[in-house]
Formats: sequence, structure tokens, C-alpha cells
Amino acid sequence: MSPKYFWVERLMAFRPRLWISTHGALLPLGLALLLLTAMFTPGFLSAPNLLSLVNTASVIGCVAVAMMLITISGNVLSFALGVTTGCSAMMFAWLTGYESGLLATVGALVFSTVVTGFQGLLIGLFRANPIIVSIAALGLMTGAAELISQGSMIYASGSQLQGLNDTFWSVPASGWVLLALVLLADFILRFTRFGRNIVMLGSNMTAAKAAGISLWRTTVGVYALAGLFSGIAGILLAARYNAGSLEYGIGYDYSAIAAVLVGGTFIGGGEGTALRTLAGLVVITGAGAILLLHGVSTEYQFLFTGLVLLVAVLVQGR
Amino acid sequence: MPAFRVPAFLFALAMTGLLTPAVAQEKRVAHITVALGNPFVGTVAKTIQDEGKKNGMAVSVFGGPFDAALQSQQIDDAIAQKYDAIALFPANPNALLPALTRAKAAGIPVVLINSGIASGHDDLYLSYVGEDQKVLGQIVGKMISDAAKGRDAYKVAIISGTLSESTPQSRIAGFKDAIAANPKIEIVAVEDARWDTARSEQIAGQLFARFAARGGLDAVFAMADYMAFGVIKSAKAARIPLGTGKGQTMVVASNCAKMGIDAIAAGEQFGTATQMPARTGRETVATLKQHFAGQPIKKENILEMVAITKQNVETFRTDCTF
Amino acid sequence: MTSISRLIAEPIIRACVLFLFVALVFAVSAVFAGVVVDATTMFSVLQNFAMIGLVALGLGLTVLIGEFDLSVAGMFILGGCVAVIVGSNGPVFGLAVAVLIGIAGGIIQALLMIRLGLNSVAITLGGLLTFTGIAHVLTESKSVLFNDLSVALAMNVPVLGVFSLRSLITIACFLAGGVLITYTRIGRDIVATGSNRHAARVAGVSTSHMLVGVFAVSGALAALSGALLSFGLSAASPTGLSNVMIPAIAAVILGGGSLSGGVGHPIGIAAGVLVLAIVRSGLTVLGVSPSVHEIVTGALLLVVAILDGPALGERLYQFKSMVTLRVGSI
Repeated sequence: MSPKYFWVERLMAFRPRLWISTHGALLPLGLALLLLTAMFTPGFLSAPNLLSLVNTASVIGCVAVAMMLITISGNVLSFALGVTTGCSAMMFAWLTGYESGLLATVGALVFSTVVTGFQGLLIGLFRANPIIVSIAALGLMTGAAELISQGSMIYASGSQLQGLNDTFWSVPASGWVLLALVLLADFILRFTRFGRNIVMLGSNMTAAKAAGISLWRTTVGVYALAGLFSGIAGILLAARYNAGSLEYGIGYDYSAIAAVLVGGTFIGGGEGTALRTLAGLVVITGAGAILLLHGVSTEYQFLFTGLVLLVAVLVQGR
Repeated sequence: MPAFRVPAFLFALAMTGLLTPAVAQEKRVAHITVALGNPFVGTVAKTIQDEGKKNGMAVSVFGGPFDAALQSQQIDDAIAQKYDAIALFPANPNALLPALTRAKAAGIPVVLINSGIASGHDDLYLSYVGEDQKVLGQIVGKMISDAAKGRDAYKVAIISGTLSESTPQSRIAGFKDAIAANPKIEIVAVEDARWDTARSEQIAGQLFARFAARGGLDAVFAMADYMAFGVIKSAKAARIPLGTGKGQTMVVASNCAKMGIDAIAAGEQFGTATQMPARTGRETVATLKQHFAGQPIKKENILEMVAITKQNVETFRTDCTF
Repeated sequence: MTSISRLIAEPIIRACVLFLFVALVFAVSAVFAGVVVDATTMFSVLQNFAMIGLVALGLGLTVLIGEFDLSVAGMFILGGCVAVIVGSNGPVFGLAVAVLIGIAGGIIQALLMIRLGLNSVAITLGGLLTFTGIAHVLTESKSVLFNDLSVALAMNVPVLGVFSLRSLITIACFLAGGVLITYTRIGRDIVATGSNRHAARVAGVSTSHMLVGVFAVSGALAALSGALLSFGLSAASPTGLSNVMIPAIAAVILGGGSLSGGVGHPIGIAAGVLVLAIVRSGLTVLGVSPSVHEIVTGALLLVVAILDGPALGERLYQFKSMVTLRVGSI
């Protein structure tokens, strides 16, 4: 395929079959069932519920898309994206002290991209185990952030990026940010050479190498992108709560993995889309909201959330 | 020559013997705590270290992510290394009893910080330093019962810290005590937001939605100020009026933080209560100092707890910012 | 020379070498810091070993067979809660019920996985949350106290100076696992299933039975570990008394486990757990602050990950030739 016609061919090859694949034919059915239940749950479609859902789930959503990229590239999962989100929030809050929203944004994003991209470099260059590298990064970042911040919360000064708290066409800005990231991720995966390399690397590393794909460049790229998305999640948190602390982002790794898996992304890599990850996230958070709206007590909420996730995984079986 | 060497050696040894107590006067304290990334926990640890240094103590901090098993191991390690005292911020009210029993057997005094252990084991610790979590709940309960006076019905939702810990359970118990006199006040929901701001915001939105058809919530008790902050964000997004009047929602919390102080000053949050980490840290060191000096020690060093509302909010701004 | 490098390439040997290296570094730094290393230090290391050991062993066996059991962390919590609640009728009874639930949980997950042709990570993530949920329901989301403190004290009394009942049970399980994998037909079948499932099936191995068996063992070990810890601490909590997941994963991979399956051995996993236990106890003995502790552990894992990377040799060769080239051109 000559580079000149690459775009055309990709566009021609595009068929809207995002929802149907061997791994998740029943996901849309489950989603429809969930939406039906939601319709009949009093209060689900009310503004307070939907707004709070979008506001909080969009942050986890950014991390989930980042996680999906790592999974799809064949690197299974990362335990360091949550802490990267927290550290980016702290970085953003700290840099707002210099009275420039732009500086704070760029600073936080550069930080998260470089830190995560560096993990990608080690994984790509030496083929180091991605899970161990992420656990190492988790320890290094937690320790360093604790030492530097001395454990205290970092407050954002001024009100940079308060636009992120506004709503546009009655959807919070954070929701639009997530939607943009989902579309961007799927665009990259589907229509760019880099994205095609990621998928190929995930599905068959030997073949990817034989096809002349640079292992380390692609891995650095995909990790940097994941870091960028986690950094955006951190900025959303810091701008929303005017502060940053290491506690922001705790538990996001597991929520993100859950969204990725419920969305039917193949954990071995090479298959999955951001849109499906978003659907997975909707299933998980939607189910949680329905349980709470029906007044289910907290301990049963824990149990039913687990069962919903289990069922969501099971319906994807053959 | 050898004849001279031996007394010289003995002299040197004697000198070291004389000098050693002077050095050893610095008491070794092990501060065993939970996640240092938590601002409250981090500030307590930092204060204990700094104040300890000023008062002739060498404080080593041991932490971990709310891990009771790790804490138990750290207590055993501190016993093995013969620390002079342990300052413990317990991760769990029950799981440290065996380790504390071993510390007692080894004669190492333990000061408990902020969170207590299961009742009936007073002999396992030297002193408790911190607020009475139950009273913090009562203070908030009183705010609510004052606001509920004259109402026919009053619905309260509790957005709690991690329910499996002792602190939220004690605060809920205290809260229930304080509202018991008024049967019109009804606790309609207790949700576990695990001390998380974003989670509190999400749960608050769902609670507002759930009770919208039934006249809305009269009050939300979010356990910490940074959780109440999430509740306020959610209320603002959904245009739910905040305040103590009829048709409005009153937001209260039970331990102060900068966000709460700001929100109270702005009239968005009604009140909170004093729980201040630097004070807890200072009092812990003071208690240890008294112990090392052989002075009598209060078994329950309950720090003063005050309701913070708009009237007195500025008094607490410094101590509540951490 | 080749035999040595081949030995080093053996995952178990590599894990043991790493263990010896870390132990040596700790011993040297203890001497320089003037810290006495004695039986109590050894005891502390073994207690830490007991804390994550069994969970790592269960997880490691599922990694060996080419799967990944995330649910061990949930079964660890559930096992502890069940043991403490049921254990009021006698701790041994509580322990037995917990282990039975662990076996049942493992079997159910494995059957679902095989019947529906699903990936183990996805199924066991559901299992993780479901088991934790059941623990929340059983305890009403509260921490539970086991009233008989004497059991907890007995569990942690030093035996022969350095062992405790908990660490002895853990060591026994590792030895049993080692014998099973090395000396039995079942062990060879498990390794074969992990290396190449299709080939194993062709060779007449009942891979489904192996999978069910390994997940049952993994569930049992996780529940046993949680129950032992809960009796050792005289308490249980639905949010967990310890964060075992990440250390256990780290230990399995340090111990030579490969995510592609077929590689790994209980003795290697034991060495991996010991590495983390020594680092944990060692840094506590040296009085290092917890933040520095995190950094040191992170740095160690990073170095190991790079040294362990299959492409390291290739990169070093490239680097060497690059340097030679530059020097040559000068």
C-alpha cells in the first residue's frame, strides 16, 4: 500500500461494526437491557444524577481509554495510571501558583506524558515486563510525591481553567473532553499508521517486527499517549476540586481495567476500541447508579456491582 | 607499653560508658501510621517528627496504605528494635490487638493517635490522643436537630468514610445519639464514599435524584469537608438550593479542611467540626515528653472539639488548612 | 561458561540469584549502618513472607498454566471474613470452611472460563469484585473482631527462634507445590498445559482438569492465607487487612513467572516473595522512611525488569558496536 493512498484505503475499509465482533456480540444487548432498567429507575434520567455521573465518570473514562491503549498494544495493563493521574493533579495545582493556566496545563501534561512514555521506552527497548515496570513506577511516583509534597494537599490558586466546570449544551465540559479523547483514540487506532502499528504489535509481536515496525518507537508512543490521557484526567480533577493530592486517582486503575474488560477488549492485545471501553464504563457506573437509586444498602451494592461485572463478562463468552 | 595500653583502653571504655547515656537521652519513637499521601495523616506525621526533634526525640515514621497487617508487623519490628515508645495511628480497631498485647508484654508504651481500638482493651495503651470521633458526630447531629426544629419531617442522608473503619462507625453512632430526641429526623440513606471527593460528588447526585420526587433532602452529612465539597459541587451542578430553609439542602461535615472553611465562609456549607492534624501531632509529642519525664499522663487526651459555623469560621482557618 | 549462562537463564536460578543479591546488599548496608541482624530480623522477614506468600503461590500456579487469577485478592478477603465469622465454633472449623469456599470459588471460575471460552483475567476480575461483595454482605461492611485473642498470640509465637505457625504453614505449602510441579505427573501436565495448550491436549493431557485443579488450589491458598492472617490479627475486614495484590504479582514475576505461561516454579516464586520480604523488613530495620521505602522498592523492581528484559543483550550489543564505531571514526 503506497503511503499516498493509505488514508483513502483506511477510510474505504471503515465499516461501522464497532459493536459487533467475536468478543462482544452480546454487549449491545446488555447495554440495551441496562438502559431499559435505567429508564424505569425513578430519578435516573434526572439532571442531578446524569450530571454527577458524567462529571465523575469522565475522569475515570480518560484513564480507561489510556488503559485500553496499553492493553491493545499487548502490554496487558498498568498499575501506574491512577498514581499518574494523582501526580498530574498535584502538578497542575502547584503550577497554577504561577498564574498561568497554560503553563499549568502544559506542565502537567508534559509530566504525565514523559513519565509514562519513559516506562514505554524501557518496555519497548529492553522488552521489560510491562506489569513489573508499572508496579515500579507506582512505587517511585508515590514515594517521590510523598517526599516532595510532605503529604499535604496542594491547593490551586486562582481559578484557571474554570471553564472545565461549565456545561456546554447541558453536558459538562469534562464529558466533552472524554468524548473527544474516545474519538481521538479510535481515530488513531483505525486511521493512522501509528494506530495500525499498535494493533499489530498487540496481536502478533513477531509479525509486527517482521513487517518492520519499530518495537520501541511504537511502545513509547502508545505509553506516551496513555500518559497524556491520564494527565488530562488529573487536570480535570484538579480543575474541578481546585486542589491536587496523591489520594486523587486511587482505585482508578481497577475501575479502568474493569471498563476495558467489560468493553470486550481482548486482554492479550490486538483487539478493542475506545468506544467499547466507554460502553463498558457506562455499564459499570450505570449499574452502580441504578442500585443506589433503588435504595440498595451499601453492602449489597458491593455484591451486585461484582455480579453485574461478572455477568457483563460472561455474556461475551461463546 | 602493653601495661600502659590496657588502662588506656579501660579509660576509653569508661569514657564511652559515660558518654553513651548522654547520647542515648534522645528517645527513640516509632510513629506507625497509615497512607502518608493522605493530607491529614501526612500532616500528623510531619508534626510529630518536627516537634519530636525539638523535644529530644528521634522519631522514625513507618507507614503503608491503610494496611493493618503491615502495621502489626511494624509494631513487632519496633518491639524487636527496642524503641522507647510507639505512636500508633491504627488502621483497624480490631486487628492490632495481638500486636499491642505483645508490645505491652515487652514493656513498650503505645500512644494511640486519632482512632481508637476495640473497647475493653484500655490496658493495651498508655494514652489516646485525638478527638472523640463520637462527639464529632454528635456536634453535627446537634446542628441538624437545631435546623430541624419545628419541621414536620426532616430527611438526612449520610455520605460516609470507609464503613469498615472505626472512625465513620463512631461518628454515625454519635450522630444518631444527637438526633434521637427528635423522631421527625429520619436518616434515609447511609452510603460509603470511602473518603473520596469525586465519589462523594457522584453519590450526592444520585441521592438528590432519588429523593427529588419526595421533596428533596433536607440535609446531607458528608463525613469530611473535602467530601462535603463534592456534595456542594453536585448540588450546584443540579441547581439544588443550599441552606437551612425549607426546600433547601443543608450540607454539614465532621472534620475541617480548607475546602470546608472556604465553603462555610461562602455560605454554601453550614458547618463542620474541629479535627486538626497539627494539634494532634503536637499533643502526641507533649504526651510522650510527659511520659519520658516520668510525669502522670491523662489516659484519654481528648482534644477540644468545637462546632465551626459561619460565626467562628475564620478562627480555625490556619489550623484547618493542611 | 555456556553452562553458567544457561543456568542464569533458568528462571528459578535467576530468582534465587536475585534473592541472594538482595540479601547480600541488605547485610552489607546493615553492617555499615551499625544495625544488628539477628534472629528477630529473620523472624520479621519470614512473617512478611507468610503475609503474601500463599497468595503469590496460588497466583503463580495460575500464571504457570498460562492464566492469571486476579480473584486471589478477593478470596483472600472473603477467606478471612468467613474464617473469623464461622471460627467462633473453633478456629480449625473456620479455617476448613474458608478453604472449602476458596476451592468452590476457584472451580466455579475455572468452569465458567472453560465452558464460555473466556479469558481468565476478565472472569477473575468479576470474581474479585463478587468475592469482596460477599465479604461486605457477610460482615455488613464492618470490621469484625475474633474474640479469642489467645489464638492470635499462638499463631505468631516464634518457633525455633525464626519461624511462626503462619510462616511454617506457608513454607510447607511452597515445598508441597515444589514437589508437585517437579516430581509428579500432574506437575508435568500443568507445565505442558501452560507451555502449549494445544500440544498438551494432543499429547493426551486433560487440560480442562488441570485448569480446574489449578484454580481450585489457587482459591484454596488465597482463602487459607486470608484465614491465617485474620486469625493472626484476630480480626477480619471486608476492605482487607492487607494489600496483597500488587506485591503478589510482583513476587510472581520476580520469581521467574512469565505471563505467556509454562514458565515458573514454586521455589522461584518463594525466592520472589523473599526478595520483597527482605526489602520490606530490611528497610524497616534500617529505619528508612516509608516514602524512601517506596522509592527503593520501585527502583529495585525497575532494575530487575530491565535486567530481566529479553532484549537487554541485543541492546547492549548495539550500544557496544555504536561506541566502537565512534571510537573507530576518531
